[in-house]
Parts: sequence; C-alpha cells; structure tokens
Amino acid sequence: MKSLAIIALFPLAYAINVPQTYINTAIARTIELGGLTTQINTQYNIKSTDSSPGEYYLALAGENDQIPAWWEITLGGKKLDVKLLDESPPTVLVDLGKTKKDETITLSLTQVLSHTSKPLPAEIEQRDPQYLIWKTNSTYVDSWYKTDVERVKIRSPHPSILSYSSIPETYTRDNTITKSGGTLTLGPFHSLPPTLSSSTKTVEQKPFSVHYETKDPIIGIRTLKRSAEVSHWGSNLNIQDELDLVNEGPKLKGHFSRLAHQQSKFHASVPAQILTELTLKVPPTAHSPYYYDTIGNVSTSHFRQGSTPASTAAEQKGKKYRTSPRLVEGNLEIKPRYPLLGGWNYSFTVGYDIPLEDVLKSDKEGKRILAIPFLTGLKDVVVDQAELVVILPEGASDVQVHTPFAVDSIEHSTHKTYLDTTGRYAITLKKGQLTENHAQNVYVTYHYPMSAQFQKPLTIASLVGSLFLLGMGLRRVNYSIERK
Amino acid sequence: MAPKGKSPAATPSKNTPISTPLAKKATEDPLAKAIIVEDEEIPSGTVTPKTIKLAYPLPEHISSTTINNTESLLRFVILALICGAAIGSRLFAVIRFESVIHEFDPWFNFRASKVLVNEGFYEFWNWFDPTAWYPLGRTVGTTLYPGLMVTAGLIWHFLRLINMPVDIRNVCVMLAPGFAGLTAWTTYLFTKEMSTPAAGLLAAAFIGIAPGYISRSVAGSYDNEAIAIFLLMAAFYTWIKAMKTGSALWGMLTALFYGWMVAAWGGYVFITNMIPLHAFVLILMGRFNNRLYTAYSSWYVIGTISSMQVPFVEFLPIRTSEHMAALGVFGLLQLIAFVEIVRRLVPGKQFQLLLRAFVVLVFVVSFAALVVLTFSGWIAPFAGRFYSLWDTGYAKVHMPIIASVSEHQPTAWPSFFFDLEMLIFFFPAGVFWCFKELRDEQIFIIIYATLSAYFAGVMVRLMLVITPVVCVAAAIAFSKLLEAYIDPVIPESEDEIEEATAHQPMSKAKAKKIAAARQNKGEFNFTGILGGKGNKGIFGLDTRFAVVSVLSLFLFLFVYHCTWVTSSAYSSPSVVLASRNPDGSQNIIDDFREAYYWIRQNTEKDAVVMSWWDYGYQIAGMADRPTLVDNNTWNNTHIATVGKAMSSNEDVAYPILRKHDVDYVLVIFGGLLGYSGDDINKFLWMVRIAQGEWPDEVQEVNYFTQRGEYAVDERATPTMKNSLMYKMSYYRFHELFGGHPAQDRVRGQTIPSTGIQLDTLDEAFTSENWIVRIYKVKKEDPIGREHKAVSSFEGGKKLKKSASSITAASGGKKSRPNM
Repeated sequence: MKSLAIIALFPLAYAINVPQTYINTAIARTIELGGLTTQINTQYNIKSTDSSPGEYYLALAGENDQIPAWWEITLGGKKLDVKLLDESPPTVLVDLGKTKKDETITLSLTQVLSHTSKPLPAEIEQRDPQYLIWKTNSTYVDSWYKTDVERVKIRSPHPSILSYSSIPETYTRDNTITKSGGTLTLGPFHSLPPTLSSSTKTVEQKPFSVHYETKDPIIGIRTLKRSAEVSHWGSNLNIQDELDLVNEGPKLKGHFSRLAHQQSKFHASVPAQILTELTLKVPPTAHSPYYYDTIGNVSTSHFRQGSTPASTAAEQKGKKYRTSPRLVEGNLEIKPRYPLLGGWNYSFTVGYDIPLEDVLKSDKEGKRILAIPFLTGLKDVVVDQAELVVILPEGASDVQVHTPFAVDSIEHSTHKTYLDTTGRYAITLKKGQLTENHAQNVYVTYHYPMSAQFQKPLTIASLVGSLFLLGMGLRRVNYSIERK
Repeated sequence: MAPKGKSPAATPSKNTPISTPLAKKATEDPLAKAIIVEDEEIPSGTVTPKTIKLAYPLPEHISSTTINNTESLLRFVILALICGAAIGSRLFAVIRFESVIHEFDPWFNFRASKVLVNEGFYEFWNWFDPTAWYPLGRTVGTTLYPGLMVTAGLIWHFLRLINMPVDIRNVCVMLAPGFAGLTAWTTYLFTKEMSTPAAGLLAAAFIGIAPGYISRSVAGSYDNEAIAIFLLMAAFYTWIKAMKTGSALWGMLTALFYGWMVAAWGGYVFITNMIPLHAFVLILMGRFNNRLYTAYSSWYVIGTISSMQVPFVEFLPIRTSEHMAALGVFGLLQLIAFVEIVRRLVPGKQFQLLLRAFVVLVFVVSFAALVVLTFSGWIAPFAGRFYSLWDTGYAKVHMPIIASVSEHQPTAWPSFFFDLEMLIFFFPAGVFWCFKELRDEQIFIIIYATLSAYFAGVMVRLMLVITPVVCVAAAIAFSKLLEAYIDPVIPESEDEIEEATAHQPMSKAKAKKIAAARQNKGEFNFTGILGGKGNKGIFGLDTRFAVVSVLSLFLFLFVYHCTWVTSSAYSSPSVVLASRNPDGSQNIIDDFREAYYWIRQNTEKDAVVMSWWDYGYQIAGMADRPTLVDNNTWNNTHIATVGKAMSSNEDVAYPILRKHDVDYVLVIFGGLLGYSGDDINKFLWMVRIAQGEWPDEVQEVNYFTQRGEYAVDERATPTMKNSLMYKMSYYRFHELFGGHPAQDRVRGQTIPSTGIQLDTLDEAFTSENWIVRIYKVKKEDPIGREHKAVSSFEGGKKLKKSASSITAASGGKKSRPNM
C-alpha cells in the first residue's frame, strides 16, 4: 500500500520493478568539468544480498534521461558487454556472473556527457574571462539500490569557481560540500535509499550547479564529414575531413577589435575564449597534408611529420648521435583564417595520405582488412553529426563493416571517380554526438581480386587504342565531293 | 594534328641527289628551285653534286619520304613541346601560390561558371542576380558574354562524363593555359599560310611565351581574353584558308569561330571589322574573285546569325555602327558579283561604264542611308568606349569610370618592349616581307598590323590584340633571316654561271630566266636575301655562323626576358600577396580572403556589404553577400552614390547607407603594410565620380590642401578628415603605434594622433595586416536619439556638453533627421 502511495505521490513512476538483491557499499564518483564535455567516472562497490541475485541494474547518468554520448562499464579493467534497457533514466543490465551472498564486486562506469555546460554570462566582451555553468538534476548518484556511503567529487578545469549550489544535510554527518582549489567534494553521504525505485522509499534528487571558469576556447564541431579513399595502385589511403567548427563559448558582445587582439597577443595574454590555433593529431606515417576552405588554400598552417621506429632508423643511418626510435604522431597545426571568437563559425577541409600497408592487412584467404579511424579525436570537443564515407577500390566485393560502437546508419552505395567504369564500393556511416573517446577504428573487410586491379588500365588502353584505330580509318577516307 | 595532314609543299624530285633535310627550304629559294628544275630537265641524272657548292656537308642518300616523315614528326614534336612550354610558363602562380582565381573580373566569371554547372544551362541563361547592384539586381544572363563560362562548363561536363570529377575551380584556373597551348597551334597554322612551316613554328613559339599574351592568360586569370585570342587566331586562320580556297566549308568554320568569339569577348568587333576591311582592300586592289565572294558571303551570313544568338549581342549586328562595315562590304560584294556576271554576258564599253556608275551610286546611296539611319537613331552610334579609342582624352572628361580603370590608359612606350621584347623590332621587318610578296593573305597581315599597332598605342589592354600579329610578322622576318643563313648552298659567282650556260644545252625557259635576271640588274634591286632572287647568297661559313649565333642569342634572351616578366610581373593573383621574411622564406599575406571568409561565415546571409566597386566581384564570389556596386560598372549613378557616401561626412553618409540597407562597409587600407592599391589612393576617383552626379555636394577641390597637395596628415582639409573613407581607414590607427607617430607607409605621411570618432559605424572586423577593414552600420537608436548624442552619452560626457555638441552638429547645414 505504501508503494502505491509513493507512486501516486511521484509522477516519476518507473515501469520496472528492480528486485533489491544488491546494495552499494560505496559509490565514488568523479566529475571532470570541461567545456563541452563532462567526463564522469563512477566506482560502484556492490554487495549482493541474495545468493542468486541476478543481474545488476545500473543507471547511466544521462541528463534529461538522455543516453550519454559515450559510456563504458568495466569490471576489473575488462569491458563488459551489457544490455541497454529501454527505460528512463537509461539503465543497463549488468550480468555480474555467479555471485555468492555478501560477495563484493567493484564495477566502474565511465561516461562522457556532451553539452552539459552552458556559458554564463552568455555574452562577453573580447577581453573578458569566460565562465560556464554546469547543472545536473541528480546530485546523488542515480541508483536502483540502497547505498551505504557515497561521495561525489567535481573537478573544475580552473580553481576559480564563482558559485555552487547547496545540499541539504539530510544524509551527511559533518560537512556536505568541501572546496579545495578547483575541486568540490560532496558528501560523503551515508545510508542513502535508492534514488530510483518503484517500490521502496526513494531519496529526493536535488539539482546542483557549479559556475566555473575555463581557460580554453570551447570548440564544437557541428558536422564532420570524413572520406577515406583506398587506392591499391597508389598503395595509399587518403583521409579527408570537412569540418564545421564553431566557438560554442559565450558570444562576443559588441565587435571584434583587431587592435585589442594584437595588443593582447603582444602581451601574450590572448583571452581564453579566442581560438587561434588547433592541433590535429595524425598517424605517424601520414604525409602530404592539405588544408583549404571554400575560397582556397589556407596558408597559415604547419605540419610536423610523425616518425616510426623504422623511419627514424633509416634517417639516422650514418649519423653520430641517435635519438631513441619511437612512434611519434604527426601534428597538423591548423590556424583558422581569422581568430575564432565566441559564436563565430569556421568551416574548412583538411586531408592527408597514409601508406596503405599501415592500415590494410590481408589474411591467408586473400581477404583484406582495412582499419579506418572514425574521427580524429580532439580533447573536450563534441562532434554533433559525423559521417564517414569509406571508398573501396573498384572491383572490391564481399564487403563487411565492423564498427567499434553502434552507429546511427550504414549505407552502401557506388561512387564513381577517376575514370571508373563500374564504380567503387562506398560505405557511408553516420552517427551523432561523438567525443574524443570515439576516435576508434572502423574495420572493413573485402575481397579484391587481381583481375580488378587490371580493370582500369585495360579499359583505358583499349579505349585509347580504339581511338587511334578510328583515327587511322578516318585518315584513309576521302571526303572530297569532287572526283579525282 | 594538322601538320601531318597537310603534308608540306616540298616536292623534291625523287632522283635528286641533293635531297637533303633542307631541300624543302631550298625550294623557297628561287636559286635552289632553279637547280631542281635543272635536275628535272636532265632525266639521266648526270648532274654531279659538284655543280652546287655547299658551305657544309649534308648527309646523302636519304629518300624523300623519309625526309617528309621526319619533318612532319619533328614539326609535331616541336609543336607539342611549344604547347607544353606555353602551358608551363603560365603556371608560376599555381606553383608559387595555389590554384586560385585571380584578380577581380575572373571572380565573377568563376561565380557564373559555378551557377552554370550547378544549376544548369537554362538557369544560367535566365540568371537574375538579386545580390549584385543591391537593390536593383542584375540580369546576368543577358548582360554577359557567356562563351567563357560555357566553354569551361563543357569541359567540366566532358570530364565528368569520362568519370573525372575535376573541381570547376580547377577547370577555370587551367582554362587559360590550356587555350594558350591551342593558340600556339593555331598561330602555327596561320603563319604557315603566310609563309613557311618553319616560320609557323617560330610564331607558335613566340606567341606561346610572349608576355603580351601571358599577361592575360596565366593560370587563374579566368577572363574572356583567355579564350578570345585562340578564337581570334582560329577565325583568322580559317578566314585565310577560306579566302585562299574559296571553300564555303572554311567560310562556315570562320563563322563558327567568329560566333564563339562573339559569345566570348566584346573584342569580337575587331574581327567584325578586320575581315570586311581585308575584303574591301582586296576589292580596291582589283583582286575580287569568286573565292573571295564565297568566303566572305558564307562567313558573313552564318557568322552574323550565330552572333545574334548571344543574348547580349542580339540585334546589335544590324543596329550599331560598329557592325555596319561588315554589312556594307557584304552588299558591295553582292553588287560586284552581279556586275561581273552582267559584264561577262554583255559586252560593250558604255554598258560597262554604266554599270560602274551604278555600283558607285548604290554604294553612295546605301552609305547615305546608313548615315540617315544613324542620325535618326535607328542605328546606334558608336559606344563611348569606341570614342575613347579615337580620342584618348574623351573618357577622362565624359566617363570617369572608364578612365579610372588602369588598363584603359594609353600605353607607355616601354611597355611595348616589356611585353614583346625583340619581337617589336622584328615586327616591321616581317611586315616589310609581306609587302614584298603581297599575296592576298599577306595583305591581311599588313592591315592587321596597322590597325592593331594603332589600338595598342591607345589602350594598354589592347596590347593583347597586337601580340599575335607581332609574333607572326616577327617570326616571318626571323625565319627569312635564318633560312638565308642556314641554307648551305653557296651561290655561284658570275663566271661560273656563264661557264655553265655556255657548256650546257639550255632549255628555253631557263634561258629566259637568266636573261630576266640579268635585265633586273639594270634597275634598282635589293641585293642578297632582300632581293630574294638572282644568284645572290651567303658565301662564307663564318658569316653564317656569326649571324645564326647572334640570332640564337636573341632567341635565348627573348626566352629569358619572357620568363622573367611572367614570373615577376604577371603571375600575382592579387588576391593573395606575398612578401619575404627576413630569412628569405615566403610570407603569404592573405588578408583579403581572411576578411571575405569572415563575412561569409559570420554575418547574416542577406547582409548588404558596401565597398568601392573594385571589390564587388570578389565580395560576391568569396564572401557570398549582396553588394551595392561591382566591376560590371553599368550604373554610373549607383557608383556615384557609393562614391558620395564614402566621400561625405557621417551626417550625409548615414542616410545614404540606411536607404540602401547597408549592413557592412568594407574599405581597403594599405597604410600599415604599404599596400599601395588601397582605397585612399583610389579615393579621388570616388570623389570625381560622385562630383559628376552631385557637383554641388561633392567637390574634388575640397580634398586637396591649399597648396594643392593630396594629404592625409595634419595638412588634410576638414572635408577630407571628415569623410567616411578617411575615418574608416584611419580609425584607431594611431593607437597601434602606442604613442609613437603613426606612419602611413603608402603615403609616407604621419597620421594625426587625435582620435577619430565614428558615431554611426562600429568597427566589426579588421584583417591581420589591417588591409581589409569592415564596419557595421548602426541601426537607428531605439529611443530616437542622434548617434552623435549616443556616443557622447556613452563616452561619459556631461549632458551639457553633449547637448552643445548636438546643437553644433545641427547648426551645420548638413544636419538632417535620421531615418
């Protein structure tokens, strides 16, 4: 009867009834505030209260009942395959295997939320510092089970925290919030009832907000279109990214003053919200980079080529002093045409080549396995909508795609370019809300017979040959009307 | 390619023992011809090589087919190499900078090409551009020459068809070099008709690298002239061919090239008058024949119809004075042909006289009708630009916009040498050779040379038109010289000839020839190579060597000069500037694109940008925003309005800006970097053009100091200092120098450090080197105050003071309510 009353009281009625077979002995959560992303690490110490407790219901900390942009559950360093329930808040079923009564298990959840911080004030002048406000609706860690001890740490990227909310002292013994530098520690809270439950008494969630400063420009990518084109003849993989960059920080109030910008540059104190340069990490063997936008090449960029042990060794042959050979990633230092102030957009295209042997392996049966990174990860940057087009050589067959995470859509099509006759096999993958953690390889397997490799040269040769034959024939025809 | 098809006229007889690679050239030499004739006359082949002395030994026993084949192969290879050189020498800008569209007009052409390939031909044909000439808009489809864009579009579509998806920008950038290669080829064909294939190859090489043509056809210079010169030469070549053969097919080809040319360039009028003039001169010289009749008639009829297909031209061919000559000659030819037929049928001297009178009468009557029609307004008189061709001062008085363009200035003499180097000296010699032979086609060269020499002197831009004929004429002269001095045959001395004639049985023909040659000696005659006939020639090997090596040196210097001029003068995209860092590395100054791209990415899609007309096409192309005026200077009043806004003070300018919905004002300022092509230097033209429309409100004299100097420092007049242009250029400029005197590096003057106050504009963006400065026009104050009052209020001044400043402002005659 009690539970019914609770259901009647709370509009948040949960459809599932979670059996209370576990309790959380301790929960430690660390929230790393950033610009566009918020990284949350949570350690759950779980104790089963039943001899056959079944599966553990783990609530993901998505804001407004959204699934986090990226999440991962590990048990002792091993990634677990879990089942996502169609539930609100998003909940996963974690199979903990066979557990005895009172056995303690440590589960850890890593998740990245996007667009959780908003600039406040929303408009600032060119030289003003930028502040963000981070809000959450669940001060306590969402859980379907009771919790003995819980502690939440919120780390701001910069010690300057303007303000934060308060928490009622219902579950705390001494102080509720401790601030040291840029870190806020909430709790520890003791003997928390589950925050989510349809049957037992729940704890009332309070919203919590932190108003903090960041010293980095807040960069978002609206759309990212990556195309990866494989060439077996050139033994090359071309990667090209089209990016729509936007400064998602507080909007610029008034207008941009070049004078002020040059003065602050002169005093080496360019305000935090201005993006003047962006560094993209590219694979060590990447070469021939290019960087242009709608109206032409952008000359303000640098490329620092990476090196591999092999290339360093070859380079240092005969030299007296040797540096230790190691794998160094290449850096593409990109400078937009103009400094990017709050709210300004900049779209551009970058691309580079990678030797094919670095990304393509073939197995014994001649099946080729191609590894293509879904995107180039940028710290604290969220890609709102990404598209990856993999263009396989003409004549590739039996194509299969293996993605490291679920994508929104996979399309197969034909792409015609560079004197193709039958066209190339193209795969288009689309996904929204990507973070740095999504910079993982997509694997594409296909068959590519030798005959396909000679398709193009033979076609062109025969075409040119027939043109010559035609010319020879035409030269031997007399067009004159007069008889000779 | 053609050289193989039209196998050369060389017909050395098969049993000639002296058939050497140079035998064909020898046929041009009357002396050598005589030798060959001699051989043919003696079928036994008993002529010993001893009868001909050679300056240097030649390989023997090579069959004439081998020679022919080798020659045509060599010609083909040489021509291909010339085409390659023509293309290669135009790629400096691409290699140094990037594949980018240059300058101003090409940006419009590029934008139009994008419309063509993205939205299709009919959209392009009916394209109304609401973003240009805001708020008027421009009916682009009927006010441009579409030939260039259609050509690029066809190439793009063809490449797509064979699955070569090349960016339209690259097609546009590479179009000019590609067509330069084709120009070299047509120039070869054209010159071959005039002279020898050797001269043709030289002419092709000259036109391939002559700076006068390169200046308009480097990669990225995607302008009408890029294909126009090819079309010009192709039309002329086919015309010569038609006139020589009397073939309607060639006449039709001429018409097609002419139609293409009409679609591509306004300079087609040159062909429209050149061909009739040639025909007319031939008639006057009494060289009328059926071949001329066929060629001209087929060209005129098909050419006129095809030219009328271009919307921009439409009925101009029958309604403007520029086209009347062609029509007149067409009528004249019909009359003459008619008279010829009648004369052939009806003998009798009186009747012929009557006919002649009839011809003259008809000519006079039709000319009078033409004049009457012109004055009654049915046929438009010459356009203003044509008057400026006859009177170079005309434009400055009547059309300041045309005069303000640097390429419409009269040509300075050094630029002839700069653009053509040694060719300009060989050019008269080549024309002289044409006079010497004076066949129908050589008359063409003479007319072309005379006309274009005049035009090139009048307008810098028309250097382009003279370049082909200079190359052709110089190549003819050059090849004549080379031929004479490379020819291995040593002329016989007179004794030897006599000996030979005495000992040998002589045919009648030869006897006559020699007799004629002897007779000629009595009269005035050129000697040696200039004489071209007789037994004159070069004797020693040393003279040959000296002259040939000097000529080769000329050629080397020519190549060196052309490369240097192309690389240093004609390969700057002017969108991107380059400078050198202290360490010698290249520093790219990319301010234009920085600012344009900023506008493109960070302003409203329909924000109207006002700038001087020079930048209209670039803003439309790169920033993709509506502009008030652009390089298509069709509306003088609109340009003058912008000029007035720029040259007036804020009180006058602000209502103009608001009336035209201007959101941003863009100025080019080179004072920080020393970029001399900036708006302050162009400012006087703005003032002049504005003065043309509003002589009471804008006066040029107010912008000069009392001593008549154009100053921007303390001496500048109040009108100058209060003008919008001055304020926008120097706004906060002195602050950059942190207390030191602010030096304007273009004008070498110190800018006063009293702050400039802008009341109605906000600085919105300034590029890295301050070259482009963009200002946002403030909206009306929400509570109806004047902008001046607002800025003094915000400046924290006391109310009393601001009130007085308002009265001071309104006390002036120019105060008017804000709208």
